[in-house]
Amino acid sequence: MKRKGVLLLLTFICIMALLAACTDKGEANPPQSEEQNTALPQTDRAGNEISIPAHINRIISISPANTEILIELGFADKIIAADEYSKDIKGLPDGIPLFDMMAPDAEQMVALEPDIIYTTGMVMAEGNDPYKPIKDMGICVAYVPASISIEGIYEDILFFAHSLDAEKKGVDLVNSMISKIQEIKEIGSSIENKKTVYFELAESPSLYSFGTGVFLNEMIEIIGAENVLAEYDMWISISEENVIASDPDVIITNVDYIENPVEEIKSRSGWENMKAVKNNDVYYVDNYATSHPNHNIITGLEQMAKAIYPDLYK
Amino acid sequence: MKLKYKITLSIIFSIIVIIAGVGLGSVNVPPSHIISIISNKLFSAPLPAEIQGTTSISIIWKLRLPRSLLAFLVGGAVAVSGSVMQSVLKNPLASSYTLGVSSGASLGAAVVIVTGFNIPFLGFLTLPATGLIFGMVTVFSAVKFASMMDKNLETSTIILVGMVFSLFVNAILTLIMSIARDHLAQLTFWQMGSFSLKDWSSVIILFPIVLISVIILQYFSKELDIMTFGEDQAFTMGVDVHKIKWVLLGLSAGLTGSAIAFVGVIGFIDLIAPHVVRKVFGSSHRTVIPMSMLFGGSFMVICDLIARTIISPSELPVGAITAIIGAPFFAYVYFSGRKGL
Amino acid sequence: MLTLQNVNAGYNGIDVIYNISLSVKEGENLCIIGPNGCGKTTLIKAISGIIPHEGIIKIDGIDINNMKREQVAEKIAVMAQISAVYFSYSIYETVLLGRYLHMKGRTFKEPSLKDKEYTDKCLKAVGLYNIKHKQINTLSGGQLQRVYLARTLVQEPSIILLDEPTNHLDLKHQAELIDFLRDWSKCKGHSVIGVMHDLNLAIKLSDNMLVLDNGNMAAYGNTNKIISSNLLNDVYDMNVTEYMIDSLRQWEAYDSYYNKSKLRKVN
Repeated sequence: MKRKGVLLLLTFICIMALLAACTDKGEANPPQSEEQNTALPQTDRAGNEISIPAHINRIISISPANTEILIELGFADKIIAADEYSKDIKGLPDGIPLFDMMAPDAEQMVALEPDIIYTTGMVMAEGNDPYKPIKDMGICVAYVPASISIEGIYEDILFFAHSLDAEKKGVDLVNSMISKIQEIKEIGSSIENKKTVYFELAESPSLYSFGTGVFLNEMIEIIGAENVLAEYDMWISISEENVIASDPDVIITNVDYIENPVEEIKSRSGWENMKAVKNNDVYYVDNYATSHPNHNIITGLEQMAKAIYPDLYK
Repeated sequence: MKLKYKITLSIIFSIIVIIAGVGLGSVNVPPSHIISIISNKLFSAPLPAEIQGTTSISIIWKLRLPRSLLAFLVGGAVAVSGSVMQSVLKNPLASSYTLGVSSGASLGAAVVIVTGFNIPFLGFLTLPATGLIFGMVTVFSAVKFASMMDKNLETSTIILVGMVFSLFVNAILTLIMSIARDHLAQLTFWQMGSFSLKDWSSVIILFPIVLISVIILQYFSKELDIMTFGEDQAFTMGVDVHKIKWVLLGLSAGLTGSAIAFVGVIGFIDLIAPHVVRKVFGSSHRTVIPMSMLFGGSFMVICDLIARTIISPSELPVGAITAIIGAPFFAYVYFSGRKGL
Repeated sequence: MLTLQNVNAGYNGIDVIYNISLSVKEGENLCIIGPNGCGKTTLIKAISGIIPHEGIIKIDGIDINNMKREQVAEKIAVMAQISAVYFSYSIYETVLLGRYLHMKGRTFKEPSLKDKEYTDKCLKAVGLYNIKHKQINTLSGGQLQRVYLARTLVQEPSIILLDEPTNHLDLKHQAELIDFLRDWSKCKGHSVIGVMHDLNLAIKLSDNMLVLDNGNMAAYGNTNKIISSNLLNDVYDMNVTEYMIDSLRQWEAYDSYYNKSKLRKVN
């Protein structure tokens, strides 16, 4: 009963605040002053119009990929809350509240008085936008959907930097990514006999991988190799038979929810005669570095390169 | 059509289905190669040069053959289990699933996955064995509880009690899964029924379990027939009802529990197969039990075949296929006879 | 030969019938009557062994608690009441199941030639032989009752127990059943013990009657003696004789009219 009372009170206060603010979009921001940087982005990465506050000191980040970007850009200390999957990210302030990514507690978020909330589009896929009430209260919610291309990743990083009025940091980060990729590309493009690669993202209930159109695929090509599933588009579940028949030179996995993914692959019945298994060319690469669409893909790229062409890449 | 012919046709059909299961797949392997590979493995016949060292050998012998046989075993096991459950509980909606075996087995698996404990002499079998035991315990508890509430074990009682037990066990499972987040993915995937990534070891272990269980159940055909007329009546006709009932229920729960333990939850077949079989072959258990084995087995192989070839190279979850095909098929068989009657 | 001495029985630890003592000799039939809830069905269940009892129940001198299930079933058979049939068998299959006792000893529990012959014999006796391959879920109530009767007979018991067997039967089938049972017991020297609601049928069938009231023996003895006493009025709390004779008078009136007009139909 007590909790119900608190909820009612909170809702009442919010409604009052809404009415009190009384601007046409119900913004609860401080009054606009001439200091406002009109160069702040007008739309978020999903194309929605947003109004980003001039001074951001309280950030909520809902997605581990986004959290990593914020920390890398130097805004760790401004993060007041994150999502549960961001829990283990290095640099995240201790003891901050962690929300359920799919169904975040809107009231609690509001109570934290954030200046901006960065989230992905994933929750919206259900048709029911849990952030709508938060937006209606005038809090800025910026959608940064997980990008599927490297180009998209650059733009995401620039958006973050831009929104926090720290464009230079963003540009620097992107440039460092570009140069590292360039380094690898130079070696990669010189390779004539490209190795074939099968990259596994999950194995239950059936094998899960990807084809063209995903940044991981771009990474494979940068390294100078070929994805055995390149003829397909986007993420796909694939049957064992196809993988065995394609007989890739190298197998890479980023499955981290079982103990020893490499051993598990090598022990699969029917796989023992594959080139990659016989030659012990089965490797694990860091999960975060190959699934979060942000600057960390560079780490992933380097790990993959070393796995595929150990002689060529350092 | 006489019963003898129906049975013969069914046996032939099952064999054809298994052959199709081995012959078809997302990768094209010519029939001549398939025959060579199998002869080589079984009879040490020489392997033609063109096949030697190819991936086709692994695909046929290590993937498709055990997979089809496993699907047949699992489908047959749950179908027989369904038939027996329905007869013992005198209820067309009775099945191990409605009595909570899948929740129980999933809970057992969760305990093993999260705590990582290992029974020394069982090794990798710890997981399926625990799943099996938990599944059976749940079913037994549900039946015992239901019969305490309602001596006649009416449909409503069974469904209600089964639902309550399933929900309760599921709640514990959800609790465990939310606390042990690291294992969330693994647990979720374990529950999804799939024949993918299974090898000969599953077949070798499941085969004797299913064979022995079905033989024992077959031995009690007469008693099962009598028990469909009511337990009291069976008692006065000389059937040792109390002892036999628990043996029958135990074996049924064990069959479904074993199936789940090895391939996850694939429902539906145990509910519909018995109805279809009875419709075609009559109610005599001497025929119903083996025919359920054949029908359930074939149906599962067909569903798995569809699941792995229809949007090649992707695989669909086989549980979805059994439901999508099963429901209309069942409706057709069940209701087509009605008008005549 | 069945004897009961001071038998109590009930459910969940609560007794429903108390202190029942009776005996049924070969060739004698017993009907159990009484108002609803007086424990008639409980008594049948206790005798057949479905529920446990206190006191002594003996068949041919042996306590049934010392007998194995099969041994009791060889002597006593219970005729099933008509209820919903979930799974359909043919008439022949259903009746053949009654030979279970004799089949279970064999390895594959196969019916022997004798089993099959006896089944046919009982089917003929109840008049179902010609349709023995029909499915039981297509039968009428009367036919289904005959199937159950045949199945009871095929068990070769010396005592048949019935619980309100005429409930779903029309007049003709009621009469046929009672006549059949009476013949069976008299010719073979067996016994029928039946719970009846219909007093007329009870009178027709039984030599002795047991009247139960609230689980106690209100009366036990020769049928004629019991119905001619006023005991039934107390037990049923109404004027039973008056009620029964009242409708008989209408029949009598019809009968005398019938005779007078000399319109005799040849049967």
